[in-house]
Formats: sequence, structure tokens, C-alpha cells
Amino acid sequence: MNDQEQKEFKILLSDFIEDRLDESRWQQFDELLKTHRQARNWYRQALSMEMDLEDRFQVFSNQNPIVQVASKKRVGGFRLDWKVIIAALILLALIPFFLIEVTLPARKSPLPAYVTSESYAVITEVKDIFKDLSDQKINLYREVGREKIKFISGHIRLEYFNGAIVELEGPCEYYLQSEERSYLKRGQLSAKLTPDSEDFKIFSPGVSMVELGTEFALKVDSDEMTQISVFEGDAEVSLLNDRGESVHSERVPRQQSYVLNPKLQTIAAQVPAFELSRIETKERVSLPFKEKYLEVCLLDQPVYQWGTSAMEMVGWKSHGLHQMKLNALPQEANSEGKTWLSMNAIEYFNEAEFSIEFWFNASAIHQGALLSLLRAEPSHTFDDWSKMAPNHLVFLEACAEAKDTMHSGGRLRYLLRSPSGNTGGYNLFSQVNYIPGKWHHVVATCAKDLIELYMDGQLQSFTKLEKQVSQDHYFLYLGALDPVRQNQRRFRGGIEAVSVYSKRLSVQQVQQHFLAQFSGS
Amino acid sequence: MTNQISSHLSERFLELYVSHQDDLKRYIMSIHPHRNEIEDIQQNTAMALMKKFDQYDATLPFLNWAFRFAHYEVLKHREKFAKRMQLCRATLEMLAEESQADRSLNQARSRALHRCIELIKPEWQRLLSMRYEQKLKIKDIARELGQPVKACYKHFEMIRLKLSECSNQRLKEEGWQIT
Repeated sequence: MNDQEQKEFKILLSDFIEDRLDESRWQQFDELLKTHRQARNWYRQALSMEMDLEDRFQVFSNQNPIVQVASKKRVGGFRLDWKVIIAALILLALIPFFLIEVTLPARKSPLPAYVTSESYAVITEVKDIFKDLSDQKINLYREVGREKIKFISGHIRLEYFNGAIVELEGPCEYYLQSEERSYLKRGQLSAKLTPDSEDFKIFSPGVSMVELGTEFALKVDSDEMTQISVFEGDAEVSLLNDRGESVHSERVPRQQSYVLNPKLQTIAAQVPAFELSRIETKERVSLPFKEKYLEVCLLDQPVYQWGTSAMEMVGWKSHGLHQMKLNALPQEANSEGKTWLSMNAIEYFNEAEFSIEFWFNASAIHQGALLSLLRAEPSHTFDDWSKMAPNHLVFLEACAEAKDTMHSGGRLRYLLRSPSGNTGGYNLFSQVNYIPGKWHHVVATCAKDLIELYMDGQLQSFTKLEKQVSQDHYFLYLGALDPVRQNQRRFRGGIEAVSVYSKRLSVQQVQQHFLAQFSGS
Repeated sequence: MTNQISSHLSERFLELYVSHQDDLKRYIMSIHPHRNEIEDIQQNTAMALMKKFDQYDATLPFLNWAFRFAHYEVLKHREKFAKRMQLCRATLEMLAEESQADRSLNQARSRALHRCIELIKPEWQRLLSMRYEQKLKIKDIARELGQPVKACYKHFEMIRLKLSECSNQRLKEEGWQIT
């Protein structure tokens, strides 16, 4: 390369890094790369440096993901699972045929559906569906993305990854266009939303509805008339012209019903209100544990175990946990919102190598803390927690598509902080969704320079890391962020059969534990 | 029995993959310079490697075997985006071949770069933080600093040049031959 070419190439390379090459300069860049080894060396060095810079600054940007409200621009705030790796799959071959005889009530298939980037929700309930063969399959636990859901009769429930729940009654034709936007051509829809699913818009023929509250239902009949009932919050309904522009809008308050007739261009209040069905809260089915499962867990010599009284009745030897006192906040009226703190610390916990295993069943897709290991002196009393910032070593949580987090909805997150503290750490995410109403088996492991996350016996992701190991004592905490912030990230659902091991469970051991729950006796 | 064999292979795969994932990523990046797609390709490569791991000949270097999969995944990915600007196939092949020889140098280069970052001016460190930690675009950084966008591009050009010179200097001191 002559001096002129070198100079030219360096400018091109700089613009290439900043993605500022137009087509002709791109060709020039390509040509120089093709013809000069020196150019290729510089190119590789530059890209290598970019990667190192990204890695270096990402490691330092691991600011406390638990308490921080992240800026939308800080999408690279953690060492995410892309950095990690994704192994997933594997066990198709490993799951033996006897799994067909699965006995868990809520579980139809042992293999969860894989997440795809286009998915917005998962089907969590299917009742008496009758549909044309040509229409999309409606299978339990199938993920749905941008697609048409059509059936002649029956009922389905969709749980969105942002926490919204939508139920559809046939005859129904429903077009899911995005997480916030859908079109009901015909049928009945009931919806229950969360603060993270706001901006939810539903269109029906000639009508739009912007959700301004939390719970509503609508019905579109064969004459394309739309009936709307709002149970909680408000909604704004509009009649649309041929170009889809709003020409007449009304606000529908709580406990009111309206009829919209796009042909006559009328909006009328309906008294008394319609009785469209509301979404019912599902009962969680307890997990019938197998003795075999208890046996295999004990074989691996857990240093700590906890289970509910139901578990203790079938022989589970729990260490004690306090049931935390609840503060008098309205959301805590929820009977499922219990949090638990171990009575005693696990002293001199083996931070170098450990595994944590448990089962959980979420009532809905929501952001809920499942399990933490918190550093504290063994003499730490209940009141002491309020005097210090909690130091997490391990934090496992169910994620939702929330506006102030960067974690994908429906995934499970495993955060390891080494040394334990209230900032930084490594994140792993599951590659499959947790399904509301279904029990999931979770194992989070930590070895010398490796952490892994398993869900339902399948390796989800892993990463290598550098750890600082100390000789500290840890309390186990279940169900919320920490004992001080019991009202934050409160988990809604069940957590059961927690085991802590002071060694890394191998892939085989994890699979044995999971499969033991599905064995014959 | 099948379970045991497969599980053993999974363990072995994990060990190998974890110890080589950075090299693999660097390789993918060198032949597919579209940063926001690297993770997808790497993920697909990992999946493909795991699926075929029972065919891996353990007497041969894992990374060379993995590179073939990564190369294939890159080609597949290029097909998907055939209409956009891409390096031509001949350039890609040359880069792929030469990238495989860089591995030990890359590790040394990373170490050198980390040290060099500590040595640059605090204002430059702040700029790098805005760009790579906060993921701000150049125009947003320029707005934040109240500077013209063009000047901001120049700053980054200068920072990269200085870091590159500093890294090369350190590598030479360590005895590496730098071209």
C-alpha cells in the first residue's frame, strides 16, 4: 500500500467503524481489503479493539441491576446472554420416553416452547377449541407472535410477556399485531393489564379502543357492532373513518358499557351494563412431589433445604425459615405474596462452588424475585436488615417485559455478584419462558470460573467469569427483593423444595433430579 | 446409557466452548462486521456445535472445528441480507483464513488495550464510556458535550489511533512482531 492508499484506508476504516460508508466508499474499502494484507491487518486490529472496548465497558457498566432504573439508552448495561452462550437444546435426546406419562396436572408436554424474538405471548389455557383445519394450531404453551388466531368455538387464554392477560371466546378472529396492538374482527375478548402493558390498543371493525386502566372486555358480533365494558380504570373508544382516522371519541369510565355502531357512526351508553366475562384468577395447583425426587436431592448432600409444610409432610427435612411479617400495603393482601427469610445463616458458605435448586410456579408473567443469598453475620437479627444495604451473592428472578428493565419478559434471570454486594454482577437468562400456572425446575450453579442456569433439566445458558471468593455467611431469602424492600419485585406464585449444595451439580445430576420428579413412584 | 454419554459430551462441550467463546466471537466479527448481528450468529454457531458435538474429533483443535461452523453460519446470514452492502466473498475468505492465525496475539492485544485505556486522558475515557458503556450515538454525545458532530467523530478517530499506537507499542515491548 502506498502512502496515499494507507491514508485513504485509515479514513475509510474509521468511517466503517462508525457505519458511515456509502455504497461507493464501501466498494473502495472492500477493494483495498481484498488487495492489501496490510489493510486486512488494520481492519482486524480495529475490529478487535472495538470488541475489547465493548467488553471492557460492559463489564464496568454492570451497575446495580436490582435497584437501578435503567436509562433506555443503556441497553448494553449487563453482560447479557449473548455474551454468554446458549446451549439449550440438548435434552431432546435425553428426555426418556416415560416422560409421556407426566403426572403434573398443568403440564401437557415436558418440553417447553422456545422463545423467538417475534413472540409476544404464550397460550396458557385452551378449552374445547373447535376450528377449521386450515387455521393456525392452538396448542397449550405455544408462543404466539404476529399472527391470526381464529376458532369457531371454545376459549383460550393468552399471557403476554409484558404481563397482560387476554382471554378469547369463540367464534373468534383475533389478529395479534404487536405487544400493544391487536385487532378483534369477531368474538369476545377479556383483558387484564399491568402498568407495563399500558398503551394497549384494540381495534375492531370501524372502532379503536385505547386502554387507560386495567381491566375491560369487548365483544364484536356478526353485524360488526362493538360492545365494550370497562371493569377497572378507563378506556377511550373511537369511531374510525375509512382512512382509520378517529372521528368521534368517548371516554368509558369504570363499570360502564358502551355500544359502538360503525355503520350508523353512533356511540351509546348501555344501561344496565353488559355482563361480559371478566378474567378469573387461576388457582395454583400444588406440586405433588415424588419420593424419588427427595431421594436424589439428598444423595447430593445439600447443605440447606427448605420446603413448605406440604413438602415436610412427604419427608422433606427443612431448615427453618421465617415467614416475613408483611407491611400493611394494599398489594400485600394477595395471599400469595409471602416472603421468607432463613432463620439461620448458612455459615462459611462455599462461594467458590455451589448450586441452588428449587421449583417455582408463577401466577402470571411478572417481575418477581424468587430467591436470594444475602451476606450477613450469623448473629444478624431481623431488625438488623433495615440498618444495612443488602449484599446479594445470588439473585434469581422471573422477568417481565417491564419498561424500566432490560430483561426480556417471560425469562428467568440468574445474577451472580462476586464479591457479593449491591452493584455489578453477571447475568444469565433462560432461553425458554416460564409458563404461568406451571411448575418449573430451576438449578443455578457456580463453579470455579463458570456459572450455569438450567430450567426443567435443560441447560439454558452459561458464562465464564472471574470471581472473588470470601469466607462469608449467607441468609436465604425468598419471594421479594430483600428483607428491607419486601414490597419490591414481590413474586406472585409458589416456590417449593429449595436445596442449596456446596458443590456444582453436573449436567447429569441436574437431569437426574429433574427426571426423578417424573419417574414412576 | 445414552443419557450418560450425551451428558458427558455436554459437559465436555461446555468446557471447550467456554474456554474458546471469545476467540470464536472475534473470528465471527472479523468476517462479519455487522456488530448487532454477531450475537445471533454466535448463538446459532453454538447451537450447531452442540448438535454436532458427537462428531467432533477430540484429537483436533476445537477452535478450528468451531470456526468452520461459524464460517458457515456467517455465509447463511449473508444470504439473508444479500441486498445490503457486504464484503465480497473473496475478501471474506481471506479474512477468515488470516483471522485464524491471530489468536494468541489477540489475547495479548486485549491485555495491552486495557492498560492503555487507563493511561489516556480522563476526557477521552469519558467519551469512551459514553460510547461503549452508555451506548450513545456520536450525535447524542456531540449534543451532550455541545460540540459539532464532525468534531466528535474526529475525537473518536484520535482516541482509537492513540489506543492502537499505545497497544502496538506495548506489544512490541513484549516481543511481538507488529505489522
